[in-house]
Amino acid sequence: MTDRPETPSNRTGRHELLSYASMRERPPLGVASPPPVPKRPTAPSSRTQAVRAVVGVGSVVARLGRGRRSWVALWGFFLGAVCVGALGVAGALNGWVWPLIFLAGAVVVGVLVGRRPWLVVGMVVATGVLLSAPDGAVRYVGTLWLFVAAHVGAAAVLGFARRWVLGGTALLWVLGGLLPRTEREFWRAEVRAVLHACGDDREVRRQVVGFLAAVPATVVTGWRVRS
Amino acid sequence: MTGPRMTLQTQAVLAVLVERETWGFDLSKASGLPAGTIYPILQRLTAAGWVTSRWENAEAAQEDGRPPRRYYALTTEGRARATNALTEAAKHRTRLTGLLSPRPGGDPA
Repeated sequence: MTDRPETPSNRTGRHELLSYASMRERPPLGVASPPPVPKRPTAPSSRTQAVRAVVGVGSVVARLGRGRRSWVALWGFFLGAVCVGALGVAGALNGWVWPLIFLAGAVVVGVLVGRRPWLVVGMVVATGVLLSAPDGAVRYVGTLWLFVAAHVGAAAVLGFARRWVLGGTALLWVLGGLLPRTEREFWRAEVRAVLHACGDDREVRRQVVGFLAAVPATVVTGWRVRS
Repeated sequence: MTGPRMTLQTQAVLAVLVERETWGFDLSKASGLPAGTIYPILQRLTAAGWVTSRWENAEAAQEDGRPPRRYYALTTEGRARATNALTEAAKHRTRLTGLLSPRPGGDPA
């Protein structure tokens, strides 16, 4: 029996194709494969942690946009934060005007959000701190408000897109309309059969992404072989 | 008609079809390629006359509670051409691997 060279397991089977002749031989039954080496967990990088924190806050903010009243409040908050932030960064506000605007905002938020006294108290305290802050700190606070506004806006846009953009499988069905009529029904039946056989959501996602990525090649080939 | 291009993906699909008749998901698992990538390959192979396909009995599929599957198999001509093409591709890869592997006692500079 010839020794087969050790090859790493590979999804596309490229390494196995490198020795096509060896593919015709199969290892004898009962040969145990080496146990998998456990991977040591690595701590996420600071950049990953920062991204996760931003996404986490954004998902919390996105939940605020449900319902017409909260939708108005969310966009009102976004526009208010943009205006205040821009004015602060531009230095168009005096030191004592800035904290008063912040205080007014705290009252409005408290009225809209409802029974959350900790929120109003916290913002009043923050206003008091700002009153004692030097004028030079206004630009930094303005930058912070712009950052908050950008975050709120991005979360709102994502929430909107999530509601209206088609899911992967629905998009597949729509894109199937690009194929010739006879090929279209075969392709859709193939997609249906493959997705039904997938064991878990991860496999479904992989197959859906595979079908979506191959749509241009499938459409071009479908029309080419038809002619 | 000229044969299809022997890309690595096409070779992977042919390597599975040479062994057995199979359907989309099974072919995807055996070749390691997503089924969407395999479909246009099968379209080209079918147009070239290398592969033929058939739908399974719809009643049998319905009894199993699943959609009917389309099975693909090599034609007689396709099997001969596929075996030749795969052997040629393997020779080409062996030649390339030999060219690219480092020679012992080579000058490190």
